[in-house]
Amino acid sequence: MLVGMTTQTSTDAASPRWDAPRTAVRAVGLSKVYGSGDTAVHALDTVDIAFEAERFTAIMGPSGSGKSTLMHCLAGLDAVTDGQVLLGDTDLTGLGDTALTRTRRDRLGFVFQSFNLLPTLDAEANMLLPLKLAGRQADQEWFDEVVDVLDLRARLSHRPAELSGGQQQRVAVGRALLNRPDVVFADEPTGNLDTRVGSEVLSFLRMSVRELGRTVVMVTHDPSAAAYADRVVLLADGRLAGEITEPTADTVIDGLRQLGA
Amino acid sequence: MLSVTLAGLRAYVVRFLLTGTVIVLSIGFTAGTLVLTDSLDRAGRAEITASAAGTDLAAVPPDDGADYLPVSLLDRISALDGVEAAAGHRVVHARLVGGQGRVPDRSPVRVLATPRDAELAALPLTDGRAPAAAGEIVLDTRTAERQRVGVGDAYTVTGADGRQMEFSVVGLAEPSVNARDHPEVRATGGDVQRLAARPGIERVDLRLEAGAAPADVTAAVRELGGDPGHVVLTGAELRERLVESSTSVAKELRIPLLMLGAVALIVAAFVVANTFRILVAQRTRELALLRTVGATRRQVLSGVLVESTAVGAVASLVGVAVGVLAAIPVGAVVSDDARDVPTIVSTATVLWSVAVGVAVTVGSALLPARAATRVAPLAAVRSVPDGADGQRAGRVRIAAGLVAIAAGSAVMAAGALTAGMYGLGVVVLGAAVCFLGVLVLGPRVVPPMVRSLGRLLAGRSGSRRATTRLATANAVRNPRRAAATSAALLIGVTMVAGFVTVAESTRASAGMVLDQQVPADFLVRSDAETGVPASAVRAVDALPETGPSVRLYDGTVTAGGVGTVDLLGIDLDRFEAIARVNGEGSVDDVAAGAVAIDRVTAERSGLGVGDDVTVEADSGTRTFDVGYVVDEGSVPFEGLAVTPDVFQELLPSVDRPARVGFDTASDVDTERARAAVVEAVNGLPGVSVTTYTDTREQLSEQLDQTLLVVLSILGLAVVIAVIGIANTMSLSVHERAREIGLLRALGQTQRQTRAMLSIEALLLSGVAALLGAVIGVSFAWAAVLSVEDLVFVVPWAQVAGCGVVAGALGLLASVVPGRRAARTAPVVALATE
Ligand SMILES: Nc1ncnc2c1ncn2[C@@H]1O[C@H](COP(=O)(O)OP(=O)(O)OP(=O)(O)O)[C@@H](O)[C@H]1O
Ligand SMILES: [Mg+2]
Repeated sequence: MLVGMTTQTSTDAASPRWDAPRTAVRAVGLSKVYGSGDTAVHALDTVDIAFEAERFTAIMGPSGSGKSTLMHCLAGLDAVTDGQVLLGDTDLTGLGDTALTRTRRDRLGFVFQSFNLLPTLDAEANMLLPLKLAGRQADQEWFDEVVDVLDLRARLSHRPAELSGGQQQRVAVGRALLNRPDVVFADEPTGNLDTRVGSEVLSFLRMSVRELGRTVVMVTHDPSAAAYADRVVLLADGRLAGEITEPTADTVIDGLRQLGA
Repeated sequence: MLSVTLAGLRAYVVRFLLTGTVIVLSIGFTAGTLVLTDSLDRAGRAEITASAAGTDLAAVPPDDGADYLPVSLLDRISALDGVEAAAGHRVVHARLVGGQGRVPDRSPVRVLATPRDAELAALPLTDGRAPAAAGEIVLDTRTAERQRVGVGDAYTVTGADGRQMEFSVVGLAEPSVNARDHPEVRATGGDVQRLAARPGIERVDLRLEAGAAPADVTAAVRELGGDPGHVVLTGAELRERLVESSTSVAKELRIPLLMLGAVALIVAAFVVANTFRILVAQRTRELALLRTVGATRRQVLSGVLVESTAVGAVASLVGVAVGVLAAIPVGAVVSDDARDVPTIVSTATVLWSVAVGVAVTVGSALLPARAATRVAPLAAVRSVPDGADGQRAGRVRIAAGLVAIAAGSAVMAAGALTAGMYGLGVVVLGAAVCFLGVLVLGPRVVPPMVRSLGRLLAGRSGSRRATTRLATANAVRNPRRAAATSAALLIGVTMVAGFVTVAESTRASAGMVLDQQVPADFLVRSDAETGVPASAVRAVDALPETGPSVRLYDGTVTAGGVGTVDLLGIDLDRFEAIARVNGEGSVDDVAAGAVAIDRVTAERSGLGVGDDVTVEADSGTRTFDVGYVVDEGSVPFEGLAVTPDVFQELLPSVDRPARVGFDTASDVDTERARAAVVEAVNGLPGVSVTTYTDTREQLSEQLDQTLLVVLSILGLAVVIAVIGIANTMSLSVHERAREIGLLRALGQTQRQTRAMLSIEALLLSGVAALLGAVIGVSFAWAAVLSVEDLVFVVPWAQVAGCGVVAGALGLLASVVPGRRAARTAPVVALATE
């Protein structure tokens, strides 16, 4: 295993861009233990990792390796057992519930694998939800742009039950981008989608990084999905197990095979 | 299947707790009522039996006391061999005469003949002694306290023919079971006969000498015969007959209390039905899975029914226990403390309560259970478990609801236009049908109302708007659930608003009737034709305790086009300060010399404001303008009214007012004012003082007491409904855990989550409160219309108050579910099942 690589921060890694990359979110000595005593599960074991701003990073690893757990901890959705999560200069682990909630609302965006939308709200209201919860108005131009890129114009007044899985996922992506968050976290956003819709969503995520300057962290099982990313981080047994920059489907498959070996 | 059911029951036990509480409360009330009335009834029986304990034989008129026995029979029976003592029973009703400073009670006084023989009399004396001679009485303790009369005081009543008898109180005794609220005077047999319209005795009780054979004496008494003859009963037979004919409070309380208990049960039924509906909805997948693995509909149905039976039975038994425990202290309060009330828990009470409790629970669970059997195996794979049942109110439902409302309203209208108690019954029936229609339409009516109210609460912008919109969407996502949840509260609020309105209308109407009789707090009147002497008026007027006065002169004149009418002389300017004057025209014109005429007389004779009327009196004929037409029910006269000056000119022979009314000066206690007024006219011959503030207060107090009892019982129904809201909320929080988790992940603060649930509860309870207030007041309107002499008054403040309380209780119901929802971790949304 490539354990030695875990101490390396991404700022030291070779960057394809001309400017020095800024860190958007960083985990320091992050541990997460479920349960206690004999039944304790070390889902994350002192993980140190940084995600650069304006980059598209994929997290990969075998089932149960702690990908979702890492993402939840990074996004302030779950309490950590030990260590720190720094969003910019803010230590999320030190925030109270309200401050943490406001941080999620104003600085983070989410796309979950399933159950992304509130069944009682239509697509538009779902997209605007974080902004509305903050009592803010949406930037109409930006909203129109996002809606058009995601091809959701005709579906805005539909409830989730009236949308296909792919449309629901696109609505979630739109929501994640509308409040111009510091980081967008996506957990297997294409898990339920067919290849064509899946690649549309991924293209959009990549476009939002390249052209709109967003930061995206995505968990996926699909090597071809990971190929859309700038960098792939590999997890195994709750520890960092290596990374691949400028991944292609083949290099990712190779990397995963090494993990299994 | 049973083991699956029981496992389900255990898992849902916490959620069933609130359902159980609802059944416990309503069955507790019902069982408590039964226990209480049984116990009071038993106590009453014991007392009646005790009152005739010493009686060995009794002679009563044939045909169940249809007529009286001759007074002479008593002496003839007393003279028989073997008779130790005999006593004649008779009750007459008399009226109390207002003595110095004493308020004449309007209710008749029961005057009872007291046997001379102590054993037959069985008088429950608390003070003094039994009446021994003419003019002596024993008064009941309740009246003694209420009217402030004690041993040694005088007590004057008038009998049937107007004859006054002044008694002297020689003792006090507890009121008899049949006394109800009337003053009870025990006098000697002779005095009672003197007060009676028709002499006679109701029955003769007798005690045998030691060793006398009952059969012999019975035969001897029977032989006394005569016309109309009599029937001889044994002591036991007599006691049985007395118990049967007595009208105990317990018996009369029972039906209205049980009816109010039924309201609580109906509300509980709604809550139970709703709970089961939600539980079934939540377990749709589980049930569908059971169906896919091969459970038949019948097995699924019996599963839900076993659950409801278990909940119903356990809750009912607890309810009975709670009811019994509550009945004990209430029994002690209701009965006068001196009386010992046994606690009677009959098998019938327990069986009925449990049967009703189980029936209501199972019955209410039946509909959702039937829905459960219709769960398609496909539901197991449905992806969005959002709690919406997707069913819209069908056309049949809408049609049925509208028909019920229309038919109910028509019946109510018919009842409102029918006078008398009959009309009221029709109104109640119509109201019930109409309300049923509202309940049926609920799923159609409640969601739009919730949405409108939600829009109202949402405000313009900001995060509150988002929270309110989320809450509104949640509240109406399942129309049936929303309707059923608010229906439970709607029933309570409708009843409370209706009762409060009817009570206030009654109070106002009674006040008006009294106003008509006595337009002032005190009325100084003359017993003689001569009128109230000026000295009396001056004396009372001079008192600092009295306020404005009004002189009232009575006379008769002949008016053109009207005929012979009463003429009232009245200080109109001051009259306004004392009684309300409603009508058409100007009171000032009357003060300046025009006449006022009451509406009925005006319509009969075709007179209106501005017309001329010729009045012929002792002093000659004069023509007046009609200055004012007084509407019915505001001034105590029928005919013409003029100022005292004009009255004097027309009828100089009537130089004294017949009555002079006084108001109590502001800030003066009525009690003190009365004492002062009585003191001032004391010694003036033929002058008496009547107060009506007391009568009014007494009436008001009685009304308040009744209202308090009714409201506290209806309060139980409201509490049950609020528990229902809490129940629905917590079940829906459980059901929506993922959704709430998602909201929290997306940035809904804990505060916002709590607010969202509060608003949701507020919307449901607010709609129930608004709708209930409107419906309650409308029903009350129809009820008031159906009763003659009642005016409709809406106690806006009280109706609004009950609406606000209902809304506030709804808010309260959301506190615990809201807290639980706020604690939902965002990761819950991410957990896959
Ligand atoms: N709530 C929990 N309680 C106990 N253990 C948990 C919990 N959530 C996750 N785990 C355990 O933590 C470990 C990491 O889980 P995690 O969901 O992060 O894996 P993952 O990499 O996302 O897997 P997958 O690819 O299957 O989604 C697993 O061993 C899992 O069993
Ligand atoms: Mg995962």
